Amino acid sequence: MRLASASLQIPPSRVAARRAIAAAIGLYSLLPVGAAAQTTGWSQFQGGPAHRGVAADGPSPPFAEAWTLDEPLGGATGAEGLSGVVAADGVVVTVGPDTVIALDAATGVERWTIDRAGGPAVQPATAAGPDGTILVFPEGYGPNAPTSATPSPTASPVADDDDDDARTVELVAVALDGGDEVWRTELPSPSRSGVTATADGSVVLVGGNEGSVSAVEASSGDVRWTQDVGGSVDAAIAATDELALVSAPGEDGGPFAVVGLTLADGSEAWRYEPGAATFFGSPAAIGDATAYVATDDATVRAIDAANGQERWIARMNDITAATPPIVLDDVVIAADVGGQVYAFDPVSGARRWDHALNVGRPNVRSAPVSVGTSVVVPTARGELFAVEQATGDLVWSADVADGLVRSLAVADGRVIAVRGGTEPGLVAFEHDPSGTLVRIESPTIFDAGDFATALAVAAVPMVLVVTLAGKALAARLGPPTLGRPMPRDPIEDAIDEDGTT
Amino acid sequence: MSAGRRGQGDRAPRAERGGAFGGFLTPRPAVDVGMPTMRSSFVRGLAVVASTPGVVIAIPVVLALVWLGAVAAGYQGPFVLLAHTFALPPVGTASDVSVAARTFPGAAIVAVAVTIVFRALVVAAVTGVAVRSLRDGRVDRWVWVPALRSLRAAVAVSLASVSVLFLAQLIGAFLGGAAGFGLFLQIGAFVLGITAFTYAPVIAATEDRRLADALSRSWRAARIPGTGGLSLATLYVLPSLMVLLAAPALPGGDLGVNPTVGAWIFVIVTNLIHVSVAAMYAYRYLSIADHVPEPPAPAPRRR
Repeated sequence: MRLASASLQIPPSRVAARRAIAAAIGLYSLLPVGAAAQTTGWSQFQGGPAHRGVAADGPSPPFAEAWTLDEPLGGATGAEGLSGVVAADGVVVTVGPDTVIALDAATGVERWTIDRAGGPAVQPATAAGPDGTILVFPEGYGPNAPTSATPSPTASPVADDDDDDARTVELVAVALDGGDEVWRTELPSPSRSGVTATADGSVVLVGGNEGSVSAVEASSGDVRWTQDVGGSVDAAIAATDELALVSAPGEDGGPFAVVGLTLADGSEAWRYEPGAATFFGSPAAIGDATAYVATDDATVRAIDAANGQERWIARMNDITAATPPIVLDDVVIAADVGGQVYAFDPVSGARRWDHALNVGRPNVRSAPVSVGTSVVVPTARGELFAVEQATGDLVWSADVADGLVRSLAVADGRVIAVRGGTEPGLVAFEHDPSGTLVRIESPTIFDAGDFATALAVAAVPMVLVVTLAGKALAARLGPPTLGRPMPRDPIEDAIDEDGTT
Repeated sequence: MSAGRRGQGDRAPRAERGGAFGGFLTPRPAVDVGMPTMRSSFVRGLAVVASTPGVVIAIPVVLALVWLGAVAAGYQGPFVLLAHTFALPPVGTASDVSVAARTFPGAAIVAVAVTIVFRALVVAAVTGVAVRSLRDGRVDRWVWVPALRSLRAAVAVSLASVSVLFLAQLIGAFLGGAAGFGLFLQIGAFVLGITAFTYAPVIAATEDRRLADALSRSWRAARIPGTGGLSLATLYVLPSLMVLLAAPALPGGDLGVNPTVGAWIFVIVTNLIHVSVAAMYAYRYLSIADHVPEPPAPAPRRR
């Protein structure tokens, strides 16, 4: 498979020419080269290799729309949509089924666009390429490429060139500053996990839907190792300096596991299996040597990232849609599919607060993120909620789309979301100084006054009305005619004889 | 026709069966037993409940206490699940299981135990009220006598209801592929549970019978032809099940521990109907008690 635009491929001679020119003017040392280049910004799913989902310097609510990108859902099914964005160096990039689009983070103005030969629109990552920051994304659907949603005028049993491209699965790296191709590497199977880059950007990790995990050198595209972990690796892979943490179900629908793979050679360091009745879970989010996952038994689990030992289990009221917890220094925050947000102590797992947004299940399907002092929660109903991290109070909410809102990213003072509905594409939000904040406690906090008032208002009139109506009805009906005289109860006979009734 | 098999014409009258299930398999008598109509039964049940201030007051009070207890134990809603607090098992049992599972997550045995005990106490109390009111025309402090008498049967019915629910879930999961089959099975389990067990606590409260006899007599009473037991149970089960299925869209369907006025009204009214239905079943049994066939005498042992 090759990108449709030949101009996007960088001939080695061109790379060499750039280096020569740079050296000639004495700027060679300023070029980011290989692993020395540290990517910044929102480099991948949930912001970084640890998937902590935190942007401490992000804008605070209330939010207002800053810019939008209208982009049809597209893809073979016509309903695939865009990936979550990555951001670096003032550029945000999103991957669609057929295109990769780079925009100015501040204004939303298009910087560049390249074609993509199909494949699930999964989260890309930025990493350290040979000549600067690169964008890495998978391409191709594999052998089970979906057929086009647009009917062809001439049905043909023979796959055309585009189909061939879509059936080859590759990992593609392009320069972030222009979209020129840097390298491409064939992958063993299609990916829905998206791409994870290590903290130094030197290695990218990608999961396959046949259970494979591949580690690829960001500088060259060479495959460092490929490892099989079991079932389909659909969740984003998390990474520490030494390990890749893979969330995947077992082979043939076996129980869910988090697998720690050594980054150096892909060997399995440990495997954590929550139990036989747990079949899926979120990507791991890592903080301070502990990995946190949300599993389909409505729990959040803390695991020692070094050895896979379970540290604690905290319960929620509902399952999560495989969205990872947010990991701050002093609190771990998770959201379930019904929109209840929970804050847990990172050491003990004790619940500190919760807030029930009551958005109906399963309407929280995308990971919330921590922005400044708030947790921002997107919903499939097109809402954004901001919950204060310190108290759990709701401080802002708005309807921002007529369809789902998902895959939040934070960059350059903007919260950027993918949206569906009738206006699919991207939407960026910025702080709105003229907006209004609210302060609403969670409905799960008991208020004796509210409770007693509502009970009294409802019950007292009802008791009076029902009793009066019941007396009238009973008088009209008269005593019941039962089938036979009821036998007297000896106990009651004794009571009556004593005159105590 | 195969050798040794009787033809239609010479079929002998079915004899009463003995053995462990003899009571359950007793032939159904084709007689008019004077069972009240569904409408008149329900109106009588409603009158029994609504004309008793103690019962009408007790419903919101008990609901408030149950709610406070559940919240204290960690339950956060939805409040609307309490709409079936006074429901007959296994309808009430299904609601109990939902609340208990959310209140005691990860402690299935505790949840099931709480469910069985709670439902048994509710059934016994409602039976006591209904029997005392129908039989003696009043509800006073001596309600506890028939309630206590019915407690063993109530526990058995509660236990059986939990078993029926789990069995329905299990079979539904096993046969899972068929769309809607699980729901159909659940409805069937509810209807069967109501039909088979509902009279048992009333029998235990009013007649001097052993537990097994009360249970089998309940089944025999339900099987009397022309009494509309299945239809009545279906009419009760379907709206009740709809409340469970539509819970998120009903007043009190959200998570939260401070129910609104609307939620309280909905839950109180629903429970008034449940208690009325329990009284209705008590009335129906007491109306036909004379006509319920006795179990067959055990067959003499051969030497």
